[in-house]
Order: sequence, then C-alpha cells, then structure tokens
Amino acid sequence: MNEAISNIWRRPLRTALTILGIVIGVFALTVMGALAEKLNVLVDGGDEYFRTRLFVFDEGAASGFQASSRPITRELVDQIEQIDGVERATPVLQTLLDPDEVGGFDIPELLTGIEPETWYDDSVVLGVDAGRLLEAGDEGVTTIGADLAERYDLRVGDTFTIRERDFEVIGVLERTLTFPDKIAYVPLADAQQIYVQDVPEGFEERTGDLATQIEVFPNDLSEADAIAEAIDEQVDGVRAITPQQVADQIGQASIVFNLIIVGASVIAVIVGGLSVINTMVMTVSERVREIGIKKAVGAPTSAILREFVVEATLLGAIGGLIGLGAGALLVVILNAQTAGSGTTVFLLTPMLLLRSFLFATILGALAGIYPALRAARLDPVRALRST
Amino acid sequence: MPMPEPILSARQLTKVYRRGASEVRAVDGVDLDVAPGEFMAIMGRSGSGKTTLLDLLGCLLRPTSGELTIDGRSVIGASDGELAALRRQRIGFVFQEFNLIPTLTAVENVLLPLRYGPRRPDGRRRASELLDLVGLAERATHRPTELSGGEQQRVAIARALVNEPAVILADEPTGELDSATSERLMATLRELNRERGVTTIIVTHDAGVAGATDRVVRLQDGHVLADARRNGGNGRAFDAALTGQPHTDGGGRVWARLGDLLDRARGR
Repeated sequence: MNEAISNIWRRPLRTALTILGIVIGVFALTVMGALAEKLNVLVDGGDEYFRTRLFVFDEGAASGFQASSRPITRELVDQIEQIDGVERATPVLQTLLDPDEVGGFDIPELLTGIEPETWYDDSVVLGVDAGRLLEAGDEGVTTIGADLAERYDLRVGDTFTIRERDFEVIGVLERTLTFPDKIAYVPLADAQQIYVQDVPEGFEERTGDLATQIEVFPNDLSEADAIAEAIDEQVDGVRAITPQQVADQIGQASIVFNLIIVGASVIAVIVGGLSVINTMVMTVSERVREIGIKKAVGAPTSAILREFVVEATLLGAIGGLIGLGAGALLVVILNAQTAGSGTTVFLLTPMLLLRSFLFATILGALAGIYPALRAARLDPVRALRST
Repeated sequence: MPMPEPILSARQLTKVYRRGASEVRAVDGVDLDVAPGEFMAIMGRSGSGKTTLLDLLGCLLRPTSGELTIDGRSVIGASDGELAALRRQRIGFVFQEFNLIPTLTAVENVLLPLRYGPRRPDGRRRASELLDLVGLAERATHRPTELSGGEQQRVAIARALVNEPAVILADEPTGELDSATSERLMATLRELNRERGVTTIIVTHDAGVAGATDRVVRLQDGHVLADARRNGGNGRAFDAALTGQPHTDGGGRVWARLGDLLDRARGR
C-alpha cells in the first residue's frame, strides 16, 4: 500500500491529470445525483400525497394540474357521487399562487381552494406544525405549506396577501418535502373569488360553482380504474385520472432526470476509466524492468497483478474523494444561495456520497485490471533485459 | 574424492529459440553439476549461450528439452507459480545493471524477496545483518540513486542472500564497475563463499573475474567447450578454459607452451 502511494507520485503531473479525469466524472455524478435525490423525494412524496384519490378534470385540459384549464362546475360533483364505488367527491379549485411567476425546475407555488368538510379525512396525509387545518365555515384564512412559511416569513396570526386579498394564516403545515410545502390552502369560496377574475366570459354569475378539479375518494382504491372508466362514460365533458396515472405523470420527470444521471455516469466511466487505463498502461511499460526484477526474485503472478490493481484503485479512490468533495461543496453552496427563497434544488444523502465514492473506486479497480494483466503476463527474462 | 550430491544438475539441457523458419540453439545439450559451496564461472563470448544457461539454471526460462534438478528435485514441468517459489526460495540473482527498485531504500530492496513469501518476523533484522555483511550498514535507508555502482551491487548481493538460497547466480556482476570496485566485489563474493559456503555461479566474459574462481565452464555456440577446476591438478586445462583456447589438440602446442609460460609467470 505504501509502495502504491509512492508509486503513483513518481509521475505527479500525469497522476494529477488522471485523477482529474475521475474528479470530473464523480463531480458530475455527485451534483446530478443530488438533483435526482431531491427529485425522487418530490416524486415519492407526491405519490403518497396523491395516492388516495382520483382526479376529475375538464376534458379539454391537456394534462392534469394545468392552471389554465377550463373550470368545471359544481353539479358534476353530484353526478360523480352517484357512481358505484365512489365514497364521496369534493370540488377543488387550484391555481397558481402568483400567475406572473413562471414555474422553473421546482414545483410551482399553488393556491388550493377546498371544502374542508368534504376534503379532509384520514387518507389526506397532512399534519400541522403550528395552528390548525381549515374547518367548515372558515373565511379569509389560510393554512400554508412549510416552504411558503419560510419564503414569505409567515407565522400563525400573520397576514398573507394572495393576489391582492388578505388571508390570516391560521396554520403552518409540517414539512412534507413535496407538493403541500408550496401550497396555500384556503376555503373554496375564497379561491373562487380570486379565480373568477381569470376565467373566460360567462362564468361570473356562477362563481360559487367553479372548480378546476373534482377529487374523488373511492370506497376501495383498488377499484380506481373501474371508477375512472365509469366517470368517463357517464359524465360528459370530463376526464378522470387515477392515482396511478398521477404517479406516472410525476414519474416522467424523474425518468428524464435519472437518464441524465445515467448519462453523467457513462461520461464518468469513459473519461475516468479511459484515463486510468491509459495511465496504467504507460506505468506498466515504464516499469517493465521492475516487474522483471520482482519476478526474478520470486514474485508470483498474483502479486504483480495486485500491485497494479491496487495502484489503479487508489487513483480511482482519490479521484472519487476529491470529486465527491467538490460536488458536495457546490451543492451546499447552491442550496445555501437558494434557501432564502424556500427552495433547495439539491439533496445530498449519505447513500449518494457512498455510491459516488464506491463508483469511482470500483471504476479504478476495473480500469486497472487490463494493465495489471499485461504486467503480470510479462515474460520475466524479456522484462529483465528490457532497456 | 567422490563428488558430493550436486545442488544443481543439468542433463542435456537445451533451449531452442525459433525465429521464423530458422531456429537458434542458444543452449545445446549442456551437462553440468554444481556441488554445494562451489565458486565458479561460466564464460563465453557474447552469443555463446551463457546468459541463456544462467536463465535456465535460475528457473527464469523453461528449457526446450533436457533435465534440470535443484536439490535433487526436477524442476521440469513445474508451474509458473512453482518456478516463482523456487526462484524465491532457492535462487539468488545478481545482475549486471544491479536491478534495484529505484523507489525503495537499500534495506527495502534487500527485503523485496521476503515480501512474496510467508511473513518472516526476523526479516528486517536479517536484512540489516546482510547489509552489514556487505559493508553497507550505514547506507540502509539510502535509495539506489544515492549509492555508487559498487554499493548498489552490494545491495543486490544482500538481496540475493536474504532468502538463504541454494545458489547465487550472478550475471556479469562486475560489468558496470571499474576494476578496483570490481576486485572488491569479487573479494566480497569470495568471502561469502568461503565463510558462509554460498554456492556461487558467475557468468562473465572477463578472464580476470573468472580467474578468481575455482572452476571455469566455457561455452561456445551453446555447447560446453571446456569445464576445468583450478584444484583438479591441471592448471593448464583451467587456463585454457579461461582463455578459450584448446590445449590438447595437435596444433595447439604453441598455445600449450604459452599456457606454461603463463603458469610460470603466475608463479606456479
């Protein structure tokens, strides 16, 4: 081991460049991985949040959760509740908290109007950190997600101005690491008042009927597909989306990002692995004579093999550690810079760090095998007499 | 006097190299017995096969045919791993170019062969003793680049001895040394032979070096041309082996006389 350490520093520049190759790969892997971790938490949490119910949208909506979709109206709730297997249905009005804020990578901040008496039940997983959830008869009040509380510096009792209307904050939700963190829940009627300003002509007189979606709680979640089918057939002008479809929609995004991670890993393999192989092949050819000496004094093939694999592994491990450190540092800095807005884009987990390090180390070891085999197979006589 | 059981024994040892259609019989039917404690030289011009023979005796090369035994056990058919173990345990090499590992200190170089065998707790002490024995106790922590040629070769000798081998095989050990250093090195080898009974085979083309040994085997075109001992009673045969000139054929009278003159000149 000591010899391996001193051996890799016999060519400091070349070793540094080789390690840099691995550093770049692992750096990319760490930063991308931290993005993916964050996204996966969002996806998993979203999955849990949406898992309990079906969503019914206007059939014109291109996809669920589009803030610009046409409103649907109250009487549909009654129609849907007639369908077999539906325990209850509740209108929900969801729109952007601030229509001028264009959503970026992260989840947009949302204003969600609900009927507390029909929306909350055991299957809605929300807990309060302070204050309380909405109740029937509330008016002009809001329960907000943890990110909103942080970003706008709000506590229970404060006033939160949403689209020029003042709401009293009566509750702050526990952090969920997913959608509800960025949602301000308000009574449906209040949401309708805000929403009516944006809808097409002709809906004003029906303000009290407006919703963007109907959330349908089934008796048995396993029948969600059948219920969705029944809704599509029996209710005109709407489309029902099952919890599974919601999860799939959210999952699309994570697939893309996971592909980016795979891409980064592949680049790391190519850049780092090839540079290690190249360096080790050069190292072996420089040390042919030494290999011959070692064989002459009785080194078995396995000892030569091990010597070079250990050296390559060391290159990988050092590159891994540095890349890991640089990546983690960048992630921490970026997170600190965006923390003020209540949004962190990266999530560093111990598993991710361990994975990046092991990845680099194993990469080094694998890249070392071929050069080490070349070394171990050298003919001792020729190796000894080589110049 | 009956010859003691040889430590190294070759019978019809042959190494053939094929280069395309032609073949080179680098070592061709060599018979050789080396008794424990012998101090001998293998001579020959370049291309005579002496280095190939040394590689064969040192188990660095496999013979094309023939028999080779070390300590009475055949090494023909041994696996690569077994040959490596034999080199480690029974053979000590000393090379012309010293062949030390440049990144290791003198004492670490001496310890190198021990690295590949079972752990020996006394290794370090033994390495220090050997460095002391070759007169380099003060230089144990120096790296090869900080040592003179003669010193490097002494380190190599200590390394060759560390596993208590049956035989030391030295390939032109003085080839890169000036004559004074060369003489001191030969004196050291001789001393190790006399006082510790280290069997030593030196490959050389230097008659001065070979003349300091007790037995000279002269090779030519892979054959043993002459094999003479100093104490075999025939000084002329020894000198003939040394100079590479035949001393028995009819036309060799002049040379024989020259040999006599040489003997006389040396005070024999």
